[in-house]
Amino acid sequence: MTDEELLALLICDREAGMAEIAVKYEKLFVHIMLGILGGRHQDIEECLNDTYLKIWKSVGEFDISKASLKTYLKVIARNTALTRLRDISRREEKEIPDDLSEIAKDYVDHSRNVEAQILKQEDYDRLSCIIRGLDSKDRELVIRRYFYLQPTKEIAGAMGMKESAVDTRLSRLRVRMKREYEKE
Amino acid sequence: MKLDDRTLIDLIGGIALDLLEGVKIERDLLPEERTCAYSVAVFRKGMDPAVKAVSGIAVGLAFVFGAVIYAHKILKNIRVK
Repeated sequence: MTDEELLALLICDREAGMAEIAVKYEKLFVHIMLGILGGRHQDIEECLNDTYLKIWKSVGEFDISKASLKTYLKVIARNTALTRLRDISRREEKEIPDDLSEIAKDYVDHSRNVEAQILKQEDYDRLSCIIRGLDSKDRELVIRRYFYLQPTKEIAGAMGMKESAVDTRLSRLRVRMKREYEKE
Repeated sequence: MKLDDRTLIDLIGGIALDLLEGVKIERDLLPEERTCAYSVAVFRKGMDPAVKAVSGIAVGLAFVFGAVIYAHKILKNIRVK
């Protein structure tokens, strides 16, 4: 079933559409959540349920002209997993869970006293513009690291690069994006 | 606003969706599928080069072993005659 057919099914028979989404995409959702939540299967299960609920509620908002259904679903899965990650760190009272990737640990590290920012659409747009200006390889690196929270080893394997090359390139990209973002 | 890693992770969650279209992490699932060694998915999507190499060596060894046994049987028959 194509994504267009799946979306049509979701609109006319939401239950059947959700069942098809589970068949087609559940492995992908779990893959995304494993990267963000580590091997926390209980949390992943609950996160999956939350994801399906959000998809159920968002059906009317998918605009296929802007992005594929698959992309919408990946975004929902990712953001749900990130919300769950924040909940885990609050629940475990500032103890950083061991089984997370380095970047996920950094994200929940309360000792850094980073207060949550109020993010506006213009902030998202500014970052989108910066990422759009990167070449495709750099864009993929940034998205794998900061969107999917993938560790260096996984990124290196997926992109056919050495781990040291991934770290070096990401380090330079971080400096560049920070400079561009903060100057505007 | 400072762009530290945490802010970047939060911000990137709301970037334009077309930027995410080109990053097909679903292709990362292939190595997991390959752990079901001889499933249809493996053959349909192509074998890992390492798996190809190992299976090639195994086939080669089996061929050599078979040839040795066959030659031994022929020689045995010649001696008996």
